[in-house]
Amino acid sequence: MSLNGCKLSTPPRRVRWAVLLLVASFAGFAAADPAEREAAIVSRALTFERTLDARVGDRPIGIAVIHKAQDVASERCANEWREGFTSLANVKIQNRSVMLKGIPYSVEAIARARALGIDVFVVCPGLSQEVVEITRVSRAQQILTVGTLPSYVEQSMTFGVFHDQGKYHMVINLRAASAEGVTFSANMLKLARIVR
Amino acid sequence: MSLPVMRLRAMLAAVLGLGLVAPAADAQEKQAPLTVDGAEVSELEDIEDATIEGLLGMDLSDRLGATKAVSRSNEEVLRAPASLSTLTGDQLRRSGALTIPELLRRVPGVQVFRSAPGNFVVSIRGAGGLGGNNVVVTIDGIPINSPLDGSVDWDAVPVHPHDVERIEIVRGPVSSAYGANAYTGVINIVTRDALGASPAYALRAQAGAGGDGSGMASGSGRFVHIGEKLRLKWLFDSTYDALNRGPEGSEHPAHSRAGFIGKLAWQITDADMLSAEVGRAVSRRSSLDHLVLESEPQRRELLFSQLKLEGGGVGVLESYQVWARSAILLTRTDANAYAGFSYAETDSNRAAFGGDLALQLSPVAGASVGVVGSLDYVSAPYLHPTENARARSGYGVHAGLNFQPTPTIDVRVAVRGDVSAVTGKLDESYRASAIYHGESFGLRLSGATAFREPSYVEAGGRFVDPGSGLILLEGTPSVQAPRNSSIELGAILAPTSALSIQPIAYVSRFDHAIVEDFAPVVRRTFTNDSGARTLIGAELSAAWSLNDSLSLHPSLSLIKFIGTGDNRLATIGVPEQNATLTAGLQLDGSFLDERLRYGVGSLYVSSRSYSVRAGIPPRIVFARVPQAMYLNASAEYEVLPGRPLWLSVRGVTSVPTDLVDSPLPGAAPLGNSWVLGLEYGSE
Repeated sequence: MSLNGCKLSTPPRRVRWAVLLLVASFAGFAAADPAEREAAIVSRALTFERTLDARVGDRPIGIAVIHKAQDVASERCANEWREGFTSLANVKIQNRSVMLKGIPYSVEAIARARALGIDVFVVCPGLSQEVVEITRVSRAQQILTVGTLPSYVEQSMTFGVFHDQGKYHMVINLRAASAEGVTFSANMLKLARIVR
Repeated sequence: MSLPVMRLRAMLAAVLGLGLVAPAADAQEKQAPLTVDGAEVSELEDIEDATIEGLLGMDLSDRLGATKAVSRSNEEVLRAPASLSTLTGDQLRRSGALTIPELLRRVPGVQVFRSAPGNFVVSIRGAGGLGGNNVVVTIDGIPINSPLDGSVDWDAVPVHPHDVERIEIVRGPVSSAYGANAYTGVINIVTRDALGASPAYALRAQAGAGGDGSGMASGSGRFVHIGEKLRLKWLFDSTYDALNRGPEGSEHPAHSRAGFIGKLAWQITDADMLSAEVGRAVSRRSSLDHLVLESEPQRRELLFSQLKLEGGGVGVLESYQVWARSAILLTRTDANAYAGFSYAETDSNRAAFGGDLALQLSPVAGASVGVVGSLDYVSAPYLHPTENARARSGYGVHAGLNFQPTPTIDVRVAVRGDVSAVTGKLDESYRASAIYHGESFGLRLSGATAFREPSYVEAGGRFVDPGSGLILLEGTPSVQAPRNSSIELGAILAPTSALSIQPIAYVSRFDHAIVEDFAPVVRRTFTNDSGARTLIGAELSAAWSLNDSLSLHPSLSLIKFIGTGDNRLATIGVPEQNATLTAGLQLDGSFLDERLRYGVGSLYVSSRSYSVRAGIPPRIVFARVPQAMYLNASAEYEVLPGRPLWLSVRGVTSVPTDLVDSPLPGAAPLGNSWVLGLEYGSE
């Protein structure tokens, strides 16, 4: 198109859509639900767990979100994690669906975890005193533990994903992973902060 | 209103609309959908369709990480003022390469030839030729170039490729950070550390065979202990390599090496650390090289060490380091075995000390200053008696400024002056760069100069033929340092979280190239070319993760000389001595939940030809190295699930299979090699 002999040009269609997508993706990152992102990162991390096939087989992956009953902060955290996983309900993990359970902590409840098909514990705040018992069970039953507090992972849980200054980062406790029979691939390990 | 203007307005409205919608959504406590690379995660079929990097929200800077290789101070790779390629330990393992130079060949802009088992010449960006002294090579930041002539004994690098954390290759002149000999680049070999705070260990044995029935064997390992205050690292490597030594009757001696690197670090406070590192290698290999055109056995011993105190984070003091280091190279031969020149009884030593400060003057401006002093002692029977066995001192100062006028723009300048211990002359070097970067791209424009210090042989050599009494080689004290000036435009682009592309274009100009003429008359052997040599080049590399278990690494390099100087006998910048085109593709993957890891690769290198005088007494070297394909493959299998016991096979070959990629007379063909290995160790 020309105007008074001068050509007017607009960005090509592909460039315009690229700009839109770029802006949209940044907007999405800025406003996305942190719990959904954390749930997605945990789900994605499971695909780097090299023993997943052996421990789960063809059945759905069982994820239990454990919280302390009548602890407001703990229950809120559990709700957020459950909502995060629920929003990913249609997304499979290595071709497996996810079976999600919310469990108020009790010795009896977690002791039956493996029998209920649980493969992953997501442990909410408020359970610092119970970490020893939870990891005793997780190690005995070969269940992967995800701590929602850095202190949980530094203490004895295998995996955590935390949000700091606009960035998400993963923390892996290799000793805990070994005790739970978990092996992460090298590609995963190089992206995570490793604790003893 | 015209259609294009309407479209533009509609697009702007859409963009602004997105900005307005997001806060409105926040106000209603509704969250925007989680997206990765433009795809809504909740709509994916499988979570594997989103990259972990994308889910973590890692931008390009996070993915590229940080480096000290370019400026010798910590900085983001995205903001570094020069081209940097990083080969990870994983790439090293999967490359199939049996030595570090074989892997470097695959970096765009790097040219490598092998003349004999253990003997390689590595050059960067137009410096292809017989001299191997155009690049500074460091191990954990400690230079290992020979104090005698700046060359690198790759056979004496005392670290097994599997114990390398990464290799950083800085391409282009970087004397403003490293001083002399960072003429066309720097190669920094970073030894393997522990993963986080976990102790690490490995023990491995390898044995292999060549196509000519020859064999090799090696044993190596590492141990890294991380304590609350103390860290200990110990690496060792012993290799016997008799692979592909050339035709019977003129075969080269086998290459053998034993060496170690030890490091002890003391964390004095949270910010300050004192470390001591020492490395030693004793090697035996063929003497065939630029000056010695004979394949006699030569024993070389390399000893390097460093004591360093570093820290920072107090007020405007971002970081500091004070260090003392040394490099000692001893060469021993059976002088009676040689018909001509030999490196018998060569002792070269360099001790250096210095300090560097990095200051954060304001949130948007920083500065760095540093000093370095050195003391050389070189003793060799082929140096002029008045120049031999003398202690000589050199020193240098450097300063740099960096400025961020906006969060997306970095401007950096650096200047350095060095007074050479060899010539006593002052050489300056400069660097200026401007970098524009975002979350998924970086664009860099930089200009830099560098110089190569004349070697003790070039400035003060004197070799008298014992038979004729003629002076066959005589140094030129007035010889000037060759200089390299370069302008470069580079980019790093990450269209998705699984793909990064690095295109680079540059122009380099070599001035004062050293010309050597070993004609057997009593006169100066080395002079400077009065003409400039100019080349333009382009490099392209990419990393593309197709999925978690498959990644592609294509690379491409082009060089075209547009000015060739006045003298064809120069040791650098001769068009025919550089491959015009190299193109490579490496594919790395895994099967069986990573129990089986593999890599296959190929590299095309166009032809080169050489017509130079080399060796003493001089010999006309004319050689044509044909175009060739270098092929490599490796596979590693975890024998027992969950146990870090790996069985591996790796192999390298070339097409044509009888390829000799060295111009030196009597050089050994590359042949093909297959090596079986067994390794027990942690990640």
